[in-house]
Amino acid sequence: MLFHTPAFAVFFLAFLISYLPVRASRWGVLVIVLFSSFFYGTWNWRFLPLLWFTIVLDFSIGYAMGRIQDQRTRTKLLWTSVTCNLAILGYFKYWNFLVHSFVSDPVWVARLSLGDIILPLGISFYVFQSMSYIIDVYRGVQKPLKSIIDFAAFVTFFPHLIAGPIQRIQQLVPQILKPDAITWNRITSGILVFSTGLFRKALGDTLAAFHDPIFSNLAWSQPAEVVFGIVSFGLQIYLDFSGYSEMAVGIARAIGIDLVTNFDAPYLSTSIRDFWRRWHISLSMWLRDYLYISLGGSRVGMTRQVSNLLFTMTVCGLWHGAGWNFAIWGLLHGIFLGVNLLFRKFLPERKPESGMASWIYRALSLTLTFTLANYAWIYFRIPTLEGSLVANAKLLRWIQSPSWPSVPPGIVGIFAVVLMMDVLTRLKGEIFPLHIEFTRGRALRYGVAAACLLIVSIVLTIGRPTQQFIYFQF
Amino acid sequence: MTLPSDAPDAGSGAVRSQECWTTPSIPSGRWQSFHQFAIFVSFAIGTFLSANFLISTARLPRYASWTGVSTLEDKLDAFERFARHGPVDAVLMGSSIVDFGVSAESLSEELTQHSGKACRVFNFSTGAATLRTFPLLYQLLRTTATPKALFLLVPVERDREDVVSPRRPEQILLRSPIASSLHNSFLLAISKEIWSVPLIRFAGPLRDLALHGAYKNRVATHADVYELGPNGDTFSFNVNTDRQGFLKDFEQRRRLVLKQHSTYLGKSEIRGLQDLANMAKNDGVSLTVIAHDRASALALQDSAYRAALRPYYEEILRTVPMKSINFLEHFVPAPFEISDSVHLNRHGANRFARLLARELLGGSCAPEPAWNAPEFRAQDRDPTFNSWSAVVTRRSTDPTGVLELEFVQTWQTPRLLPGESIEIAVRTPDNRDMFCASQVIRQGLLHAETSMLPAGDNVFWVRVVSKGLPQEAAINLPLVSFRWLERDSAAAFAHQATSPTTTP
Repeated sequence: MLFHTPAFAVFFLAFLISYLPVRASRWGVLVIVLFSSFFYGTWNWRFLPLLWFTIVLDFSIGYAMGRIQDQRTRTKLLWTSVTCNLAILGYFKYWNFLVHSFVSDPVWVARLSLGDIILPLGISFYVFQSMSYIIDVYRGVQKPLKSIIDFAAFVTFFPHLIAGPIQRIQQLVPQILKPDAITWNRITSGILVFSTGLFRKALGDTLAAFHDPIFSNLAWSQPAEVVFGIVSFGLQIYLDFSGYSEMAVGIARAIGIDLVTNFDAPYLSTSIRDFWRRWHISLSMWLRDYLYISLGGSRVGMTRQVSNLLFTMTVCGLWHGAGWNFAIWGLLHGIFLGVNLLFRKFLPERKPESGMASWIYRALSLTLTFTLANYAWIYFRIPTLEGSLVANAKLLRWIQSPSWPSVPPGIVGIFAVVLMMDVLTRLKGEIFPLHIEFTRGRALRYGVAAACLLIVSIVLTIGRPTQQFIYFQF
Repeated sequence: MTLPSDAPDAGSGAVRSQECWTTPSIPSGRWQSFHQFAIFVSFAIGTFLSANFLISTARLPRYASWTGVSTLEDKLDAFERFARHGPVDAVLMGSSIVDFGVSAESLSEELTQHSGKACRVFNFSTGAATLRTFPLLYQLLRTTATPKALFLLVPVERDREDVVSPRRPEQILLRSPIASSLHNSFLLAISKEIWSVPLIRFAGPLRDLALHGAYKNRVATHADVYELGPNGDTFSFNVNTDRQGFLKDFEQRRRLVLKQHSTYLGKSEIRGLQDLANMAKNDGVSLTVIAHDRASALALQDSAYRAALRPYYEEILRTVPMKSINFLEHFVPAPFEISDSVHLNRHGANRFARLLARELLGGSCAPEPAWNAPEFRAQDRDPTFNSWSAVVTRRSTDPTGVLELEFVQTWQTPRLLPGESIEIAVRTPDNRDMFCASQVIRQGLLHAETSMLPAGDNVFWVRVVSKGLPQEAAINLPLVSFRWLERDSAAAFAHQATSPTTTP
């Protein structure tokens, strides 16, 4: 049930009818849990017990932690939760990958592998979210919740359940228990953010229709096409995931709950460090707070810091998918971040402050960051090492004799639109700033803009097979 | 890996991060009034409606994104227009054999004339439709109007269950957006309304325009070269010139029919027929099965072949009892009535409809006056006449001065514009080729000076050629309609009367 399908519209209408009359009471939380479980079950009801197993396990461990003072027992409980969660993730997501990677005997591969095991939808998201609660309780940052329904609402809240943004307990649960008043402003805001997300998704799907054939026939594609395809994929994954996140944020906003922002014009970053502050913010924050800092963060020596970065980013890569290509992608970003760290540490800051030099410095930083981030997408998009090598060879050939591929003018137009949207986001904080006072003129402009976004989305989407969100597979 | 319980930056980091990555909260004290929201919604709806209006006025091609079958969507549009003008008495259902080969327009005229009360028949046939497809077609057509009678015109066919071609209409329908609503009339009605919104309907061409600056994914269909009439008939004035192919087609057909299968209908066809019968019964619609056949079989049929047709129709009647009509032995089309080995042309379709009308009304078939026709042989090095050349007929009672011809003008056909220097090549019944001076009156419509053509009940083979150029400059233009006019009534033509050129 994708957010932009008629089935979801019917589901959401039924949810509103059930939720709105009771949202201020405890029944509202129960309605959220019931509808979210149904929402998840529509994909594959057989994985609903697994979701609920995670909920019951982590709620019970969190509850027990709250009643036990002994630190050693608390640590044991923490490790029980972490082990169980990682075991679930490992079994469903990584077992076959590990067997195929480390067992060479085909007989043993056949014996050990689990066949075509189905990956439960959103497992990486809800497992990480649930683990963050346990770690927060262990650290004493969060008091254990008293009601399993509240915790279930935190894990299953349907706008973010499948593909994030990954929420924090301190941020989401208070809002679920006491949602903000539903004002006309909120509804308008929800519509606008949802429309923007839909628009982004439509643009992303259009780019996919352009570059998917290039990646399917990598060996036969022209070098310029491959280069353009890589950049196009970089934009598609951004548009696809940020589109989903914005749709989720829009839906939640309309019912009085603010979710976290997941993207902040990442391709306008001036360093890889800056990029990771703006790309999949909820995941990078999670990795920073629960993995990188736990490994020592920036309080350890430079060598350890760099190796922590490499480890964290490789985990980040593997979180996205069970494959060496994802590990390479993460490792590459770890290397970029490590080099960035070393530069900052050992080279004195010589950033020009103003004037033309400052603009040139910014433009160069931006171009370098954009190039590195897009180069890394090769390993994310192409599952095999052979394929990545072919793409690299094409890239080298293109560098030797650059040319412009035959690209439909509309695709170039999409690039321009995305740039414009990101510049707007960077300048105003949001494409449609709703935290400032509204005038009639603004209401009028936003009304026209929302309709235009919807119109373009319809034109780009209708009559094409519905594309699953890329991040659903993670 | 250690998870320090007392790491100060861990906890505070989490809290700090909360502040910077939470979405800006929306002020609840400002702009809560309904007034601004109303402005927002009004302008959003206004913009949406304006865009739809603009799109509906633009002449955009159809990509058939609802059903996947462009000709079917054209038929649905035509059926809507037809149903708006009065009740629907009967609908013809069949494959392209019926689409081209039975004129619902002529049938309506004949039934009206002979029964004394207005009768309106629509041809809802579509290419490759079979008994499997009919229930789906019926569901589609009743979203617009339910007819009083349904005529199923089917040739003998032995459908193999194990062969599922993705190009069959029912398979295309089941892969299209319509599929999810096809078996529920309520959902189908909603789906139809949604897909009739111009923005949704023309999303494909608009997307092509936006991305490529041209209709890159537009697919040519036979609807681009044949005109669809107001009663849903597809007009073809072509004539068959491939004699060898024609004979070969009949031989294959004859072998299939004479084989006398123990069963003709597969499970899906029986189910289709029963579904259709159930729906028709619920709607109070009468069903009639009418025998039809490929043009080659109609033209070359013999008594053994005709006898072998019967078991097929008997099996249909055993599956679903209904009225049946078979007058194929009385319908042997002349060469000028045949478009190709499968299809009749407009002349054949008209005559088939006249005979069907008389069968339906219980009358006898009066013989029609004979025609004088030329030989329809496209010679190897004859670029002037080919299967695209149109067949027109003229009774001795018709006017003789001017022949008005209207041609199909779509993106798939050459443009015929006023001021063009053209003439009409005509092959007469005595196999002489004549070139008649012509003038384009408006786009696609021309008048030709024909007073020199021989009188009588004649069939002519006509074609547009560029004037003053070699005969190779003949233009492939499919005909929509023709009319014989008195010279005076063709006022626009009066100033340009030249003698026709005759080639022996």
